[in-house]
Amino acid sequence: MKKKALAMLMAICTMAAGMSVNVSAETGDTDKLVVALRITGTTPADVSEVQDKMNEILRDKIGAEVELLIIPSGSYKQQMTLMLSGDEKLDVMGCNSGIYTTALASEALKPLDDLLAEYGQGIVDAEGEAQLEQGQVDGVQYGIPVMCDTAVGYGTFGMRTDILEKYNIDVSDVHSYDDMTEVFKIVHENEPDMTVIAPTTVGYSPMQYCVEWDKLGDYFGVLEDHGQTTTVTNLFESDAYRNYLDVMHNWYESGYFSKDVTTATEAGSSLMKGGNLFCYFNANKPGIKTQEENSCGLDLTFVQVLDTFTQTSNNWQWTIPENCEYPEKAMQFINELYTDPDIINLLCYGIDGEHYVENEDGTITYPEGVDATTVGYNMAPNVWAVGNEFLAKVWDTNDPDVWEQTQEWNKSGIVSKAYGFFYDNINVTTEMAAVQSVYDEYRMSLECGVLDPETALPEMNEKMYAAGLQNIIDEKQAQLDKWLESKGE
Amino acid sequence: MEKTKKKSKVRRYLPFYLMALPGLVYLFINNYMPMGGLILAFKNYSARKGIWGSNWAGLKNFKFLFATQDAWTITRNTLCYNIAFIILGTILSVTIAILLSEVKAKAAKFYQSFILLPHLISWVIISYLVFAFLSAESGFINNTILAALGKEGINWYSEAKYWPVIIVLVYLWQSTGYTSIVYYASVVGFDKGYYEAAELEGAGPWQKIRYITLPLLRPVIITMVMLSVGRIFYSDFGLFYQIPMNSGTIYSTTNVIDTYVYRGLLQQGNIGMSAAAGLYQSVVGFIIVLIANGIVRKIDKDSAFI
Repeated sequence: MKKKALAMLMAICTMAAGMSVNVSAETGDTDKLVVALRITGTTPADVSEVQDKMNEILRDKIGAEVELLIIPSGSYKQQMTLMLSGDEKLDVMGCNSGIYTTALASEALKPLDDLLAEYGQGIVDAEGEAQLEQGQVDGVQYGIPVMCDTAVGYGTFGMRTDILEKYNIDVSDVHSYDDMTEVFKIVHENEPDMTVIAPTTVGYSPMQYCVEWDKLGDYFGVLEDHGQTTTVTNLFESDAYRNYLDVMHNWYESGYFSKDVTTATEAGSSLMKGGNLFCYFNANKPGIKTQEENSCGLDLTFVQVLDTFTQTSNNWQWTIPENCEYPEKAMQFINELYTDPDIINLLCYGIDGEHYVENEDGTITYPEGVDATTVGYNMAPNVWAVGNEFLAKVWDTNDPDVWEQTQEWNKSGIVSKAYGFFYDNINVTTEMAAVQSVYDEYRMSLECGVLDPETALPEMNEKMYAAGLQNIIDEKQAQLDKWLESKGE
Repeated sequence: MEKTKKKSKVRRYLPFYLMALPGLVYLFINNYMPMGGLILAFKNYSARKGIWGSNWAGLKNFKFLFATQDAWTITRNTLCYNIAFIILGTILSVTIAILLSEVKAKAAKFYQSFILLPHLISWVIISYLVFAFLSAESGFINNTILAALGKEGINWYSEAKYWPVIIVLVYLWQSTGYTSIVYYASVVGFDKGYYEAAELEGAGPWQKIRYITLPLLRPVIITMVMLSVGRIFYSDFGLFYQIPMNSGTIYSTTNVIDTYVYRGLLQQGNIGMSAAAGLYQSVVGFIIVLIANGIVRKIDKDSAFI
């Protein structure tokens, strides 16, 4: 009897297993694209609802569905690297220069030229050949750069307006790190329990937004002076970097950073939302105020103390990994991201009437009774990374013409002499790994001001040279010279 | 005649083979099948060309390990921590097992569950428990203990020198309850006759432990130590990755081979180099097991594995 029961049980289990296989096979008759999407802040609650709405459109238009894989910015790079090195299904991946370079080194990205010619006409029309060149390596297209602000307003600080008003701090005359120090001093004296300043992204130091050099892809060998030179030098021996470190060290020693800054597990905007942070680093651009206020839910004031600057290989790009099952569909989907306002708005702001409502002047805002903390879907901080940002609706705290302003903004500021150059580290991977490992040891503690640059910086430089930094710099210089020459012709 | 004997032998052992089958299948899938991937250590991996189609790289992938101090640091850390774990862990769990066997059964149950508890907590949670102690801003040690002593707070997550102690303490706290169970189970199984005889002879509790319990425990201790020595080149990833909260400045005392490989793969995405470090770990680990086994065979032939 017992045996019979066991056999029954096993039979049921087998049937159940068989059934579940069948079920998943049935829903799989439309090609499903897995799309990796990086977000700042926390994953919105209504993702699957928005995804269903997108799929209604996509099924008719391109005969495919998407599955949005939403990953917080802090772990995005790690997650992507892991997915690329494993056999995991991933059809469309957004990536920054770091992920892009790594993925190229292991040939994990599909060349897109043919796909782009066949399915991506909308992208070419919207973006133009010149900008698309940013996604090419040796003339082969591997990435589709997103259309957004390319110039970056470095050294930007987002501060809580209520605190500024409370202590009567006027920030209209703040133009340097030193001026910021004065502001922080007042806040720290009056609000001793409040953290004054925090980095923006988990696992990244504030240096990501305090750039005065062209990092040429990674930070090992840079063009100083906003890329106005063509000689590749060691960033970690430059005056600009040293000055940045001194400022951070001073702020840390003065108690403006949290003492736990290097082990923080929350993004700047989340800390701000939590209510005990005064200011975090940012990159300026038209519409920054809305973007950040939407993610932290507080009124912010922005000042910029460094120059606006465009450096090379700094684009967010859409790519199609080698693991992709349906490359044609993937390219068609990317094409939609550059041409179809419905898809773009769904992805950015969610469902009309539920997650946002339209005003009379065409701008959008939260529906009644909903705000930044309660809305089920809002990716306003990531609108720039969606594809064609200029087709997205405008949030009503922005000027209605914010996209025109952005186009203008892109023309302003300093442009690096190496703009368009892509550095390929394939010849120096051994040195790269070794130098990176030295950098990782110091990066957070040094660049968040915990370590004293006076002693730690020479130590790091010495170890980096021992690990082969000079070889990387030489290799970069050689590639840059070649590129400059080819451009001169 | 010979054949039937063989047949009956097979039939007799068949149930045992069947019982071992799931374990063997698991070992095969989990430990043997991926071994083919070691070939990546000698290749320039290309996702486009696949594992077999990628170009050969010779020993290039091993170069980065030895380009810096890293190879030395991670080997030293892995070995020293494991040796400390084996020695201190064994002493502590044997002590606890003996103490448990001395108290009343009901109380022993209570203590046992109590010290086993940490073993059931995930490393991620433990890392936050530790953080609650060590946080520079709001941690218990800085704000309560050091403040009461009038001493200045220490930035624990950027001072490498404290971590050998922290790691060992956390490890012992987490694992001792679990390992002591094995010893406790043996101790309670010992023939009470020995102890009664000893008592008649007038032996005190210390003498009973010294001359009865410990000698009887010897084979168990040797087996347990051998099992740990077999894994001396591996480290508990959660312990070394989660507890230091990935703080770079303390890598010099917290980075072990497993975390190094993991970080290498994640940050550089270089599969070839990670595979090379993994192969290095396996080969050196294998050699150490053979050596340790050789030593044990010299001391106590029956306890050696091979």
